[in-house]
Amino acid sequence: MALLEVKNLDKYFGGIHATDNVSFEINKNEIVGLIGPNGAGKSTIMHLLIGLYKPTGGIIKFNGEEIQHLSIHKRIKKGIAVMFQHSRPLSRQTVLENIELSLLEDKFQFFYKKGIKEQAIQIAKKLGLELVYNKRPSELAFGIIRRMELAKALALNPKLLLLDEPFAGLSHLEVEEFSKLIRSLTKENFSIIIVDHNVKAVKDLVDKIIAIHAGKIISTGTPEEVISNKEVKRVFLGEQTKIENSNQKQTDLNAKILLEVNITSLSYNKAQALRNVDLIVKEGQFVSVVGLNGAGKTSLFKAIFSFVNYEGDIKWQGKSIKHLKTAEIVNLGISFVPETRELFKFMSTEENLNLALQKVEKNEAKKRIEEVYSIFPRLAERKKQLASTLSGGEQQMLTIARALVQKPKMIVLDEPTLGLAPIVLEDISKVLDYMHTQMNLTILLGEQNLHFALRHSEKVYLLEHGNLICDCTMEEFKERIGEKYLA
Amino acid sequence: MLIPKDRSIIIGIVIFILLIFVPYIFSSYVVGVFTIALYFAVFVMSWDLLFGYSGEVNFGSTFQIGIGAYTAAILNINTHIPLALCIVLGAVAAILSGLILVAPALRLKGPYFGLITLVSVLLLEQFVTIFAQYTGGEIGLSVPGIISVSSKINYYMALLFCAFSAMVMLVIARSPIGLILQASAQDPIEAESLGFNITKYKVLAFGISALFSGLSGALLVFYLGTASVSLVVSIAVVLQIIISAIIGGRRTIIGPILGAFFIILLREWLQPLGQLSYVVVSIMGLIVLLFLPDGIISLFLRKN
Amino acid sequence: MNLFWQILFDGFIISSIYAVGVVGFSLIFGTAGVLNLSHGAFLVLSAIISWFFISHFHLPLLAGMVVGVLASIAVSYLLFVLLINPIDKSKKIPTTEKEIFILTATLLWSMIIEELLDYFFSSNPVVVPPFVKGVLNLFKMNITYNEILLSFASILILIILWTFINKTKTGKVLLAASMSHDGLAISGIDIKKVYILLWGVYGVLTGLSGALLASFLGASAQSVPSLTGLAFSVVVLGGLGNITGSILAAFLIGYIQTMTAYLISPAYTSIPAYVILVLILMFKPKGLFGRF
Repeated sequence: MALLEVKNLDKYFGGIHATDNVSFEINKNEIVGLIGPNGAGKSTIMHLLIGLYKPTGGIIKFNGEEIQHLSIHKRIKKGIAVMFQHSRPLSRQTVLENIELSLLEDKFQFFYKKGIKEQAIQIAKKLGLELVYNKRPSELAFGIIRRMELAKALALNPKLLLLDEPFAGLSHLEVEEFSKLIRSLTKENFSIIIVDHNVKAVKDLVDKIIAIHAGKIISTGTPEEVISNKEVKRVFLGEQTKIENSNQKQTDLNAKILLEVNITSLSYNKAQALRNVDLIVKEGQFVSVVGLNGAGKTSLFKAIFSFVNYEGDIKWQGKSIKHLKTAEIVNLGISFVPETRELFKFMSTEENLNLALQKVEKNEAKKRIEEVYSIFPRLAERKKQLASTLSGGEQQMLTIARALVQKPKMIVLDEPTLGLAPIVLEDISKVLDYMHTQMNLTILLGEQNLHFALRHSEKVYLLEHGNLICDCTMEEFKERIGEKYLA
Repeated sequence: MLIPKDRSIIIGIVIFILLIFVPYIFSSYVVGVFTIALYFAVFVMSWDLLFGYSGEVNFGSTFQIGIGAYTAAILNINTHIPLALCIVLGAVAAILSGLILVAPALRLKGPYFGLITLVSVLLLEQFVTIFAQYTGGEIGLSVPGIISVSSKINYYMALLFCAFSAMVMLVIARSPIGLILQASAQDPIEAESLGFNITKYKVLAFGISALFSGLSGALLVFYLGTASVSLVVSIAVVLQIIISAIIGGRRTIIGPILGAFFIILLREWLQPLGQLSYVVVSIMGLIVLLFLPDGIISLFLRKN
Repeated sequence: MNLFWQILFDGFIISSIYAVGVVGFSLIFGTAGVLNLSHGAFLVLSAIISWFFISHFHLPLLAGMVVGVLASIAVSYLLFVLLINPIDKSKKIPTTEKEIFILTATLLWSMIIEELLDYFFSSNPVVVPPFVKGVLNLFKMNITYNEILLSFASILILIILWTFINKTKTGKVLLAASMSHDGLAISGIDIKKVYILLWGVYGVLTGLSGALLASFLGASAQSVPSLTGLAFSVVVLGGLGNITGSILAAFLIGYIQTMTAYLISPAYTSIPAYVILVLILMFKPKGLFGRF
């Protein structure tokens, strides 16, 4: 009998089918990777497994017993443990006390049982936390906190361990160490599900991979089988398998520098999201920052627009913009298309555009809106419609249109293709081409879809775990990293 | 376990020892003020147990205090049951009414628990006014029962009660229960994912908080000989409780005792200002809130 | 039958005044995320200041109201500058506890205003004099012209507010603020200025509605907590941050109170509203109308 059986699992959020008839089994002592690109629906499945969401339909059997209706803590008691990607451990307590918490029974106890500390020490030792027993989470590096979280999950003595993006936010070295740690666990007597967006990171750790896309399982099998699966390749790498560059324009190398980024460090509490990132964008250039989810692209863009604090400096046309407010930066002529879009959901397309034209005189505003409507005829048709009722692609177009009406010199786009259907992707691709070649806009694009980014770029920066790995022209990129990175 | 925690207990013991000598140093009037401060300190500690450890803001702790006080007072006036039983029944009523009216909101995330507690106090105020023939309405009730005529005995009763409450709450705060409560305040989903039924712990914390609030409310009534809205129900009392907890240092149990004494003595000292004394106390509360958010006790505790 | 009409008319008058009294509370929560527990104090402050200038300095009624509104705007900005903004920016206060700090701070703010009013103007209820005199006789009922005027003024203010928010360039910024602050920033709009606008509008709204409320019900420092409680109940009932919901809920509560007053006893007026609120919180915490 399989340890975990999932049959015809369905989950709807409003009209969105987030989990679509998913069935799979996990055997005892099996290590399985649950893989899918960002937004594929893998975390929904994980949340359904632990009970944070209740399924719309389907069965989850654990050890032969149906558990889909149980609340979280009851499932944990049956032998499921989870390590979250983002958690808030007890901040006023030490590492050891955090582990002790995990060892407590769910009973009213007024005193600690004897031996609990020794038990906690034992687990901490196993995970290499000897040196930080009495430190608090706020004093620790992100990688160490991740270990502590793993220790807490192991302290529950689970039969099935769920790891949610265990490598996200870790540095190169930390990823290696953490992989080693997980590998050492595979000798123990429990099953593991690793939820990750990166096939590469888990393929050497797991016995089996389940690949997810758009809420459905697209492939199951050994890592080799899944990686060579056509559908999987298409989903992870885009349509083509060769790098193509359709960009016809080559910006003069002596062009004026518009944006100059020198970030020495950017961190959220203890997690360092960026280190020593130096980047230059010249006037008229199309520059891409590529990297997987969690590599630091969004942090970089947030820094440019003063949404987060950082160490170092960012200059626009030679002047520091570090201490300017977001709105002031935007008004200098840099527009932003954020990953989260930040549209005004309950306002119409036209109202959304008009809000970006507060300071513009009425007739001019009208003219500009007509201009973007000619680029996006679909938005013109939907100008009275509320933003929340637009399709994902239309919302993305509106976000770009809102940036364009501001007549910027440069436009920064963060993952504009995220979660969009291939056909919409083509539309966006055309728009980017038009903006670059016809409107002569400078473009800074953040993408995890390499093919999409490479198609347009003159220059590519590769971000990995907060570090710039490569800062090169298209030719150099193809030569040095391209094929290897894609394969 | 941790040095700061031990320090706060040392501070607690020092306060206790100092308080033993109060009747030998000060006039019986001052001893009376201290007695009130001791009961008030229990209100504040009970509030702190719920807020500091389970992260739930109780804007209506006077609902529990008031129910405890009025139940005990009404029983004392209308029946012949012994005083001690009146007090115990008052506390029981405080717990039960709290569990029925307020505790269901502990399931909810967001500001709803705070809202419902606030409403519960407004509701209780209305009931006291409406059932004036039993409650004395706006004027309040005079109770025949009295703990003792000696100010010294009253004082030491209050001191023992306060010390006992502090001990019980400290034990809970530092027990596995306290740890689980803190974990569920910090990250409820993670706490559930460690296998804890967090609502169960929150209800327990609420129940204990209601128990001591109710007991202290009932005791205060028999010490003062009266129960009235402005004394044990009004929102102004809740505010003073919250200010005291924050000024003293929330999440420490001992800090709230410091805060309670600070507020009661300050108000006594500002009495000549009349109405304005509340304004001054409120402004001081705001200043501490902004500039010393960890309270007075943080001055004595070692920084991390 | 007579009773029916009485409840219908009285209910409408009180409900419309309630609606305008609570809409600001909902607005400032929806757009700035602040549950202002000093809302009742704002209302009473403007009422008492208006009354004071009218009865002691013999200012004309409207001029007195203007002074009341100015006072309300002043405390609104003070609250933002002295408390809300510093707490928001504070690094010492953990993010997870900011909400409670803001709630406590606004409660203290309320206390300060309340006690100062009590000190300077005593706790006797003051009544802003009627705007018009005379009584209308309709279906054997007596309705004062002042009540009718107050009700119309309330509805008018609500219509103006609605038009401002939905139809004007500046007003739409407020509407947008309730959806995405980051969206405003990348549209090139300075968030700081949005806050200034927001707290200004809030001050105007509470100022106007305070005077209207006091012309109908009277106001005293002691009515502060129950007014805050009323605003709270109505807004939670309507769904936090949902302005239309708040207005509908104001009518619901207004009518329930009127019915209680006429059919049971005026002494019980506010109880049903609180009981309904408790029930709503228990069984449908998102309010009757949800968020939007």
